[in-house]
Amino acid sequence: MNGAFEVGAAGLRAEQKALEILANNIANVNTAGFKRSETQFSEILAQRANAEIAEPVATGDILAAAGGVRVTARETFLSQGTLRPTDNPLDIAIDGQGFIELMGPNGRSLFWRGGRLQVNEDGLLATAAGLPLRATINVPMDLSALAISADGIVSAETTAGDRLELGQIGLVRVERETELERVEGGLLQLVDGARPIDTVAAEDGSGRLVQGSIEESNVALTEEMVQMMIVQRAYAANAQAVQIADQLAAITNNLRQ
Amino acid sequence: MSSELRARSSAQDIANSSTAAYKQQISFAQILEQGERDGLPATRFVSQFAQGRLTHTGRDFDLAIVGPGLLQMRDGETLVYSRGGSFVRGPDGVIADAQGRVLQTASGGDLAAVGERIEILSDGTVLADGMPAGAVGIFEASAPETIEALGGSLYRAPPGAIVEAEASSLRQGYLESANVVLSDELVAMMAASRQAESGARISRVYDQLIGQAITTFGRGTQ
Repeated sequence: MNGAFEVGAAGLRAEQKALEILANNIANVNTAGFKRSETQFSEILAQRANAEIAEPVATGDILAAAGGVRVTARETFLSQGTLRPTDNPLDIAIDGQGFIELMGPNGRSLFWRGGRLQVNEDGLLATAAGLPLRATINVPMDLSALAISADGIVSAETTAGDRLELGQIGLVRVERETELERVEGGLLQLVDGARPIDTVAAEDGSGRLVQGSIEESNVALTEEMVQMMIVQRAYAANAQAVQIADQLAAITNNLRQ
Repeated sequence: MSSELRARSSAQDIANSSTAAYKQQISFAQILEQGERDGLPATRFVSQFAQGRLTHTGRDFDLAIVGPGLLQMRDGETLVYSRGGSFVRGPDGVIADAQGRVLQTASGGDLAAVGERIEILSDGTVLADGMPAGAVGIFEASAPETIEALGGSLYRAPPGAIVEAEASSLRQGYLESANVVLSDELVAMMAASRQAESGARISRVYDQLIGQAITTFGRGTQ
């Protein structure tokens, strides 16, 4: 069987996967806090020695047998999206590389890049989906204003006019991007064995909190569209390769008449 | 056979036209000195190390090389080489790729850089917050034909074949694109296909001649 077939087919598969990754980025261009994935191609060698030439190669075996290509998604969790002011005091965004830690179901830690806050039924500051912040901030009922400073200190003003300090939202950071993985709802979690680094917002290099803003996705549409066109061209070229491999096979078949 | 090999090598180039730092395979016919097969050309493929276009990514740990140089990485206990790529900074500031292969310094040993802002100069010098923090090693093979491709844009060199690079420089925030020209590869595939056709025709004519010879001589002895 001739190898150009398999290599071409592997190329088609890889380009299709790349298209899926691009499509997911484009679909989420308006998702607040969404981080795009990048496509990364990597060549595969089926075997190093070219077994089809029965030839004892002396020194420096430099024959590289073609094996195709594969594609992987490289997540870009740590690249900043544009902050868009919303003038809603319950919107919060992070300007920097940190994350807000949430208490997920079963005590699991989840990481959040900010979004809309709410007070859940237990009176705790929580995400719009109801997951409370790890910082456990109890919000009194008779509240007239809530302020969150850049370093994460949450203060409130009661209807009686008293100012209360409710707590401080810390930020967590990871050593490397590969320690994070996506879970439902735009949240992230640590992969097994990874450890988060606790930091204070606006210190320790994890960024500052911005109240009244939302982080937009870091997807740049033009870039994705250009990528998509390149993928389309590469797909067509791989299809050509398969077609020519087929022609070669036909020639061989027609040898016997 | 040689047409099929050519087609496969072109297919590999086309499939990898989007792979960062991929090097096109070039073929050359080689006359085998093997008794009966003497004179039959066989086709060998080697990576063609011509420079690929540099693409700006703006990421601090994306490195590309201008010139023939290679970066040295430690994969467990063995040393492998690459034309650059995307690296990440791990615990203790160690710079490694996503598979955990650690970038090596010019004098050997793991490269580590601690600091907020890492700058890598074209000669490999690493500045962490403006202070020197080591140097990325840029190497060259003394005999390029001994370099062996491992897949995934990695190479292996025999011991002693690696020397310090002279005519290469490093670019931070760039990645090298594959040096494949799609149109050339498609033309090469078509040429391989036509070559196979003429090969097939020659075989058929040869077959006919032998057939004729057998029938003619066969008739002659009756």
